[in-house]
Amino acid sequence: MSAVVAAPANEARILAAVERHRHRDGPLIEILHEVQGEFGCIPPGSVAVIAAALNLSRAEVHGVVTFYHHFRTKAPGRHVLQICRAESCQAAGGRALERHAQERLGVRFGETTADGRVTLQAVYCLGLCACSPAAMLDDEVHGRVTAERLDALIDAGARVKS
Amino acid sequence: MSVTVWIPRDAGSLALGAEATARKLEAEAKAAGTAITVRRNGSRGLYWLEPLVEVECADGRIAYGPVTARDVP
Repeated sequence: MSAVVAAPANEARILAAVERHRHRDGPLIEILHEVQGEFGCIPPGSVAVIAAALNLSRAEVHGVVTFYHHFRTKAPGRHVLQICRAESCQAAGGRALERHAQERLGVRFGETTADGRVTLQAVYCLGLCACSPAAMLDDEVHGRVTAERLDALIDAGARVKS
Repeated sequence: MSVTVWIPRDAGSLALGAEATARKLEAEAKAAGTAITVRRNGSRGLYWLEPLVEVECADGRIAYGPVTARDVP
């Protein structure tokens, strides 16, 4: 990862994100959120750019990016579907919902459908335990998700957003 | 005299369709010519009843739940 260089256009945008948060105590995670918000992931070369700008080691920045599952280094599909795998959702049928999602989309957790439409991810607690099982499609949270509702969400995503 | 209706915008309520309920309520009220003011609040924590819609009247607020967009008409 350290040998990869960021494209100049990307570098400018990443540095702009750094400047917007530099004043904070511990700005790194906010910067990474902004970068992922802009690029859909933490693009190659970002680690070096951010480390240099914040006077941190590349190892430190790499460590933060790889520790949190939320940060990804590859661009995702057009939609990201996250299914909660934590205890409450498990207790309310989450395991069956996971299997249904994987079968329906033909991918496992962490993979993107062949047509690039949906990336399926596991997430550990959306804080919606009172209405388990829960899922998040892009920025929208959904509770009491049944297999039918999941199918409807996947289909609607195809029609409305793509 | 507009009736005030409270609909939560708490993440749990939104996860159970509160946004659709709010939009449908506003649309139906407009169509029926009834004046309502929709206010958005937090959740009272009764998640099994979300979306919990409260209507202000003389005796205080009366709550209905769970109210989905389909229930609105």
